[in-house]
Amino acid sequence: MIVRTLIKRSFYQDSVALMGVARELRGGAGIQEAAALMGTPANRELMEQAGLLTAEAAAAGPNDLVVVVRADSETAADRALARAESLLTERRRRVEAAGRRLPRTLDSARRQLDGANLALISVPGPFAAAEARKALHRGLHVMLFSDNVTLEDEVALKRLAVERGLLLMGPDCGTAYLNGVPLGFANAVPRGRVGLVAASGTGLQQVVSLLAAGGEGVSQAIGVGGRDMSEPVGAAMTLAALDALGGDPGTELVVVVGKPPAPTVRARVEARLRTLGKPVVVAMLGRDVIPGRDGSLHTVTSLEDAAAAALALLARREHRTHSFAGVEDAARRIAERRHALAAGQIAVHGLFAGGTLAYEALLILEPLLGAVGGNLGGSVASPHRILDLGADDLTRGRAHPMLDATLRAEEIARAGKDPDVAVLLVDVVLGHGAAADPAGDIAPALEAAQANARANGRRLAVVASVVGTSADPQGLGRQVARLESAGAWVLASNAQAARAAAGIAGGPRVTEALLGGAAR
Amino acid sequence: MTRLAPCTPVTLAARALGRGLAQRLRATDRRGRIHSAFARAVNVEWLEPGGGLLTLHGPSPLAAPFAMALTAWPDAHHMAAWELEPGLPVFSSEDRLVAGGLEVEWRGVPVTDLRVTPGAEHARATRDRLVNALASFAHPAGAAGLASLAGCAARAAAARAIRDRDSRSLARAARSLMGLGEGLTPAGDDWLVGTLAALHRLGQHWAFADGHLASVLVGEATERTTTIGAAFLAHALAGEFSEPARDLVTAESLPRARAAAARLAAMGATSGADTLAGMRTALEALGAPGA
Repeated sequence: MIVRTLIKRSFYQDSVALMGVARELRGGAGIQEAAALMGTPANRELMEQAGLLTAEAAAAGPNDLVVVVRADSETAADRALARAESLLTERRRRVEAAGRRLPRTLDSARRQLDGANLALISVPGPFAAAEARKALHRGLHVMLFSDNVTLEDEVALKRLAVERGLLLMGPDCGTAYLNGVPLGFANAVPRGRVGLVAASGTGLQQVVSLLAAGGEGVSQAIGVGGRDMSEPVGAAMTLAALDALGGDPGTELVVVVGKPPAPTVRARVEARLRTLGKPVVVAMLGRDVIPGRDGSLHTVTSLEDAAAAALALLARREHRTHSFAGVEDAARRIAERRHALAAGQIAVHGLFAGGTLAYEALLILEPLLGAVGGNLGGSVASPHRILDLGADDLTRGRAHPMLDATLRAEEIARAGKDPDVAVLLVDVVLGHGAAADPAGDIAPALEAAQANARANGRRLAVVASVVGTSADPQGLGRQVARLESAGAWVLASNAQAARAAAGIAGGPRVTEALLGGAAR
Repeated sequence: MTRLAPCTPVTLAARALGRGLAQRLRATDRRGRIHSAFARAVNVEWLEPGGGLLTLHGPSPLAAPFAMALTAWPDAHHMAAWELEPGLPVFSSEDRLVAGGLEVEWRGVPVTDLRVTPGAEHARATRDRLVNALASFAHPAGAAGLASLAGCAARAAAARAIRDRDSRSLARAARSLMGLGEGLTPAGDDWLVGTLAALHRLGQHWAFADGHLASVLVGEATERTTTIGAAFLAHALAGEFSEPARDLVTAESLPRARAAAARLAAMGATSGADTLAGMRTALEALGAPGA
């Protein structure tokens, strides 16, 4: 008579599974008795009374699973325990076979990927700082995808990163490209000569997509987090990223995307930009930004202009700003849509998935239409409204609007019922990490809103832009076609879409400002 | 193109959670790991602060005093895809929790009071109704482990101790039953939970007042039973139970009690039946001659 034991440390199966294992083992050839129990003292006593307690079983703990068999022969016992092992680990093996065994900790990840030098951290904010600190202490660069990291933690982490000569991208860093590897929400763009430093995820996506449309690619794109140029953080990562791009032989030109730095930080950033030894396009979007050239610095006021200026500089030709890619066509379309509006339709409602795209639209609309309300700190009394639907308070407990169109569809329906609304302005962001069919997700809502307006004697204009490339999984052409089939006018950039919206909703003065002679 | 991207969590909303659990989760951020994952439930073990457990399951009555019921439950494919496997780190903060690709949100979710306290009516009326309700459900033997020699002796000792209102002997019997028998929550633990539910509802303060029971059920839990069994016993000692168990002992009519007993009987492989068996033993012992 042979008694054999299999111990599975800290291994849990529900009662049904354990009883099933014991039952199957008992039915095996040459098996007299079998049990599958947790190794509690009471169960060890039961096994002892049944003559099943081996030395291994006696040493088991309450959270260890003990499988024990009494058999006629060693062969039968071994066969039974092999069967038990197989039954107990079936599910785990299925997962492993699918190649989905992922590391549980930073250290186990490093063991799996020897030589890794970057950690992408996406855990809830309160825990993210600790993980980032751990990664920095292990000599890893960090892309901190998590938001809700305190300013104090950000300052401390970036100080640590600088001390160790590492990058800490973020927090709330959604997009980066390092040595050709896109990280987070990223469009499929070619490698090229432009290096970017960005405090904005969708701003970066807009610029690299427009660069790709112009035939240029990205050498490196380093996200720094929206607060990097604030006074407490002191542009710590912007400066580190500029140093990295300055020394990168693959980077011929640098684009900086974000908001203007705090006054106390500005001088330091500007000094670094001037000594970079490479041309720099500065797209720090803000109300008081004046476009122009100052030595190697080229300041622009829109994301589209940032890409256009970079392309022109690389091609050694002059950069000229324009309102629309095709002025005549734009003038015609604006006029058609404006004439279709009913009396009282005066407002632009912008419903955005991209935070920086929303802010850029606000900056374009304000000088043309006056105050703009919404959740970007504008005037609430205005008929015009820009909503950043990816804002923290709107995404708690739900996916970001780049993934889940539910909230935007609700807002589109609301705007369709509002007799004041003349233009719905929307963005669609493509790329890895975004929804599979973002245009298709909002198209039915756009169609329904326009139908609702028509049923009430109004015509609702829908103006859109798509941030993406033809190589993106969703396909730029397919997404544009879907929006157009839903009645949208799709422009080549967010800035052009915002101008078109202003042209439709505003009076002749606005159209004249935008189109000059083509408006007449 | 090579691509690295963070896991995009899918959010599931909670449908209900116990009041005690809600208070504990709200008190502080927590870090833990998945302790065990099954087809219909996932157990989370908190590593800090203070330890403890959380059970996540689908839209059914709360299966444990530390359970959270979700509005939907992932199928096996998603369970694997989201890596809901033992060892996976879990984080909770305020009113949400993230485990692999699963995010759970419980803001504004109604909390359920799972405490059992003595009812307003006479204890005898409560006892008679419950005995009646359990007559067709609880088989005294319960699971096989409880039917063993050791199990029978310990159950008999517990019944005698309850009849005699002898907390020291009850604690000794509880020590023999802890961790006994089949299951992740061993059958003996389930049986004790049923017993404790009856004792709490019928106001048997003698059982808890002198701390003998606590010194065994809490003090010796780590050595004598599984982590999950220990959690059930600690909550039961404090008067917190699963929703079906609470519904049963607090039912105010016989039909309601029978319906609750049916729900409890259906829980787990033998857990519900073992709980009912313990409850029935306690109720009978409390009404036995010489009590």
